[in-house]
Amino acid sequence: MLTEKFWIHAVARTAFIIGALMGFNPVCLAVSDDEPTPAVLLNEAIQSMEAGQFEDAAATMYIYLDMVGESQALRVIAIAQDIRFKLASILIQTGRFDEAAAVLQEYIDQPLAEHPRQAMKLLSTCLFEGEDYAGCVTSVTNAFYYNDHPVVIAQKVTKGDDDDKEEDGSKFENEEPEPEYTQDELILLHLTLGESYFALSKWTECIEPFTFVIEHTPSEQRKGYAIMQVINALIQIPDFGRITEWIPQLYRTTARFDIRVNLALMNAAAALYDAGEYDSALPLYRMILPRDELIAYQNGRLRQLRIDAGLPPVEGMKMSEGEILLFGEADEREATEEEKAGDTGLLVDKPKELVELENLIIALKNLPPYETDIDYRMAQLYRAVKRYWEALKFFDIVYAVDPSSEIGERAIYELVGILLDHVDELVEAEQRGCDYMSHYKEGITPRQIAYMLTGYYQQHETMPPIKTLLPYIDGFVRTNDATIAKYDTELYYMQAVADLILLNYEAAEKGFKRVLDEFPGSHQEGNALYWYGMSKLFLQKYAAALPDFEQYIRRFASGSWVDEAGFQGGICLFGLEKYDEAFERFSHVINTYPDSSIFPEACSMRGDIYGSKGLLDEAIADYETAIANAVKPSQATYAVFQMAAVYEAEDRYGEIIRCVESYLETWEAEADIAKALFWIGKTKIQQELIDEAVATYLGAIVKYGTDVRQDGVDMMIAELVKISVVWLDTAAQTKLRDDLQAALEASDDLTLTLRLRVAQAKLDKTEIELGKKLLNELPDLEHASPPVLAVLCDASFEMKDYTRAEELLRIFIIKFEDSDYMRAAYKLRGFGQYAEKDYEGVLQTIEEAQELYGTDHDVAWAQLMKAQVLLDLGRIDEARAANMSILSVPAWRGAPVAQATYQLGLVEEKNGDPRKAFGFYQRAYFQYKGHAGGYWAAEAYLASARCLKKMGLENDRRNTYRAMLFDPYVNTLPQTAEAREALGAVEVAEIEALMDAGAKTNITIVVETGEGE
Amino acid sequence: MNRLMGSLFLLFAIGVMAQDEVAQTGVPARLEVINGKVVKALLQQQNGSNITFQIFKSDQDITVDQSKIKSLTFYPKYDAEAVVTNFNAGDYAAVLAKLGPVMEPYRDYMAVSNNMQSALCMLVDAYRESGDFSNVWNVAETLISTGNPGLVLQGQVNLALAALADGDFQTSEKIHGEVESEAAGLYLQACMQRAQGEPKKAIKTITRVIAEHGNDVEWLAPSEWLGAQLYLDMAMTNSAANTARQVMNIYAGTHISGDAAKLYNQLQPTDHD
Repeated sequence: MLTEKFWIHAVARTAFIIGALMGFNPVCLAVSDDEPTPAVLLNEAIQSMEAGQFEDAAATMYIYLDMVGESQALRVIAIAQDIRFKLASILIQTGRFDEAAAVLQEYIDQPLAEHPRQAMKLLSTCLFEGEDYAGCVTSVTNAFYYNDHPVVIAQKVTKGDDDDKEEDGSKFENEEPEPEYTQDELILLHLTLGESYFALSKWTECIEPFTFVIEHTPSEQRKGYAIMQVINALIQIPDFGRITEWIPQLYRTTARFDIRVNLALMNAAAALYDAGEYDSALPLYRMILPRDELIAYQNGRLRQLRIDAGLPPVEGMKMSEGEILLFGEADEREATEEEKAGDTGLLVDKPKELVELENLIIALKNLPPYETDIDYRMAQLYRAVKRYWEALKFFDIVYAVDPSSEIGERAIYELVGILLDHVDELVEAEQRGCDYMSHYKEGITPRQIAYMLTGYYQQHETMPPIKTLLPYIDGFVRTNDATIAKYDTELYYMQAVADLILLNYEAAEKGFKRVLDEFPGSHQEGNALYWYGMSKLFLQKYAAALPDFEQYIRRFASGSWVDEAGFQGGICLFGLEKYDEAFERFSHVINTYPDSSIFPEACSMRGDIYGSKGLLDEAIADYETAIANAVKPSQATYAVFQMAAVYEAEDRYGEIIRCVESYLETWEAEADIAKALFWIGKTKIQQELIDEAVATYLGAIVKYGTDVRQDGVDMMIAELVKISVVWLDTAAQTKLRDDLQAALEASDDLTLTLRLRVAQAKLDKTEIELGKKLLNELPDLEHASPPVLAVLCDASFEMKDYTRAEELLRIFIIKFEDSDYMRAAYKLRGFGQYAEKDYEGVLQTIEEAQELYGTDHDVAWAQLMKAQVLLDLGRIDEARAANMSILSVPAWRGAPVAQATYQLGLVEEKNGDPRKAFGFYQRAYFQYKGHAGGYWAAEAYLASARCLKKMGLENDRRNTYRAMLFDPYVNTLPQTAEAREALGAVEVAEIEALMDAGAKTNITIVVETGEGE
Repeated sequence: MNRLMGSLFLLFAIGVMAQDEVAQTGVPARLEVINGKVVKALLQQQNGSNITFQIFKSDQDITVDQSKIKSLTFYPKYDAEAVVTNFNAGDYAAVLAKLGPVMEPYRDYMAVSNNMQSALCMLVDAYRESGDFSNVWNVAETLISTGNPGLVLQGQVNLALAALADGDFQTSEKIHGEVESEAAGLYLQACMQRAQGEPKKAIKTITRVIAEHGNDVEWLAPSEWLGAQLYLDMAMTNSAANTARQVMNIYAGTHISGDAAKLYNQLQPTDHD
């Protein structure tokens, strides 16, 4: 209850203040005549304030306060405090926050302040607006303290000159106290405090006031904003674990539509992503709304704010009467330029919240579209957590927006990568990648995609698809950009490598040359040069390959292939039959690169050269070194079996067993077991352990015959047939046939089955029949081992069907380069080319065959054909020499010599010397009638008759025909038809009657031939 | 005497009141009519679009079209908070035990907005998660009959999932065609694709929910959870574990989070691995 005394004082004080405001001068102040009195100033200040002249009011109030500042009179102090509060309000209203803060601080510090809570609240606002965040923190903290612990200071005021009596401040103690802060004010103060801490980077401290806001504010917008700030602070601390707790709360508020929250979400999500906090970042990214959606929402809010402020829903809009009725009278007149902000063009005189929102919408509209960036980050995030299908979807969305943009390019690259590497969708990856490469041919991305696809195929050892990329790569627009050029180099290099692995050596040669020609000085130059040489080497272009290896050694002395280049150079020299130089080269490699992976091969090659010179001990020493240093099975395999061949030449079968068994022990499953067993079997034969040898071979054929590349099995088939013919009696041969048949019936492997059928055919001498069957049976030759291919070659040759000759020879060269069965393919190919009159081609084939097989008996055809081709080409002397050379080769005695003699007749005949020709023909049918079933003798008879006719020796000609019909080696051959026709039926009948009676001819045609002159 | 008479009268009066209270039966509810008037009522029955009730302390049946009733507030005797906790913890057996019997009297009145509707949705989910599809059919049909779009959708999806569980693709496909929510439709489509052994197609469908309905929490959560299971179907264990972990974290406090947590923990390498 207020006391009577208080009321008296209160009424007096109020009257005093009112009086002061009304212009009375209740206080006797010492003023000069020129200066206005405080009362006058007070009056002026109030009038200015009421007139809305805030600047004048403020100035006058300052003068007043200055004038009365020293006064100790209680009433003056009270008035001054009231003026300070008013002054602060004016200053805040006019945006002079710093000044307002100073005035408010003085108000708070001075006695008799009626509104200390409000003053503290306003001070906090001023300090915050003035960006004095530390001061703001202090101010808000003081405000909270004061709110909880209010004091009314009963202060004894010293009686001053102006006061006629002492006043006791305690008389104000019982005045109606200023109310405590409302909930709204507390929320605002906490928000201000939180923001100040945040601005001061006091992350931990800001969380508590923001949390207060979150827990108490009824505004979802404000709540969401505070949550966002908490999240931002937790990111800064960092305390990612707690962020996860806040995100669902944020999700449930409409603050998601707040522009500032969205911008903060982007930053927070990015920070979380960078910190690897994907689970927290993901929902934040999802919360970020598309710009258009955000603008639409905020425009709706803006409209509502305008309506709330009594403005038309849309600026400049004329309100209808209904709307005026609904929203109130519009007071928004046409704004003058002065009333509009220069930078935004918006009206200045509007509610602050409205202006802020308008500015935010403008900022949002000016913001570059960010949705695609957000989608891209989400895609990255999904990929980072291995949610590949989600990542694909978002990369696809980004790509679809603008495939040619930088982000679109990155998206398609990522997309293809995920399809390839993570979700096993090769077909879609190819389709998307190729689609992109066919539309976008410039820049780095199409190249990266081609590179990625190539890498994938390489990794999965599927080379053919690599070649399908070449048209796209060829379509890329070339530039001088170093990075792009590097990609192009790499892509073309990998194309050539693919050709090499696919055994397309010609294409590989061209491909590596392209890299060298079009990208000189590239990072792949050394590699391309080496493999360029290797491609030629695979094509047996020794002379062409050698300079490449030499160049590599010269230019890339420290290159990774320098030891290999040295070795391959040696191979070239070896191929060029420059054995001494090759020897030197291999020795150089052996001495210079003892740790090289090529070292064992160099030893083996030098061993071969030693062997060819008859230096068998040296050869064996090199082979032993090769075996001891082999790092790959193939290195040991070659050396071991070369060494076995040397031992075989010296009949050192025990050594063969020793080295082969040692080899098997060392390399176990990696060893060429079939070949080893072949040598063991061979040795057993020499030791006359025939049954054991047969059992060994048969077992090995069945066991290893399923692998088409096991050439040891093929060697055993040939050896088994040989054993059967030479060593086995009829019973043993029958048993062998039975065993082969049993193995055949038990096999379900095509490769083995074919091998067994060939082995049977060889034993039965029915290879040609089998070959004819297989030509019809086999859809492809994938499972055909060399003996099978040879059977096919022989059958084709028999049928003079050369259509598959090239294919068969190519398979041999690519897959079975070292197979002895390849000679059948060369023969078929040579005859095929001859039939097509491809003389250049046939000479090349003959050269290759002769390089491989020299003067082996079954390669006589090559020399005979060569002579014939030369004759066809009119190169008489060369043709003659070629035929003559056959006569001196012991291995070619018999049919080849018969044919060569006949062909010599053809040479001379073509040379216009029928007499000389007759001499060769006569020799052919006299000396070699027993060869080739009399074929060449019969041909020679007819050719002789032809020459005799040319020479006009008609009687001799007829005698030749008669001799032919009397000759029992030829008289049943088809060629005799010509003789029968020439002689006539009557004479032929006589001859046949004489023959039947046992008569023999003594017809001899003597012509001076001049042969051998 | 007067005191005695007064006491007897009071006893009689109490007896009458007690007799009145015992005589009145029905489902107690606070009934708010569309005009804002609120009455305490005992619901007698629901027939077609009509609801019959008695006002408290009156034995007169009043039948009104249910469209005239704005809302009903029931007074079920169960610990609602505990049921929610059980549900979110994935303890569906406890949910069924506590909620199943309680829900029975209210099911006829679900066409009117009431405070047990969300509990009914929880119940159908609990039946489904427990594999009790006959009850899923039952409750889902109740939900569909309410006409409330949200409840109808819940009912449709659950009905379709129950059909799928029976291998009845035709029915699930039919319901799928009737679903109005695109997100829910995609979720159902993914469920059907999964049931037909096409996990890749299913997860592609799920990515559409995530990309096109990223803020539809109602269907995003089950869709992402389905995504985790689909990754497991495709033997992409790491992806499944990561997806489950994200579902567990993002939807913390929900039953889906609880289910995801179980899978996540199951996929974590043990000390023996």
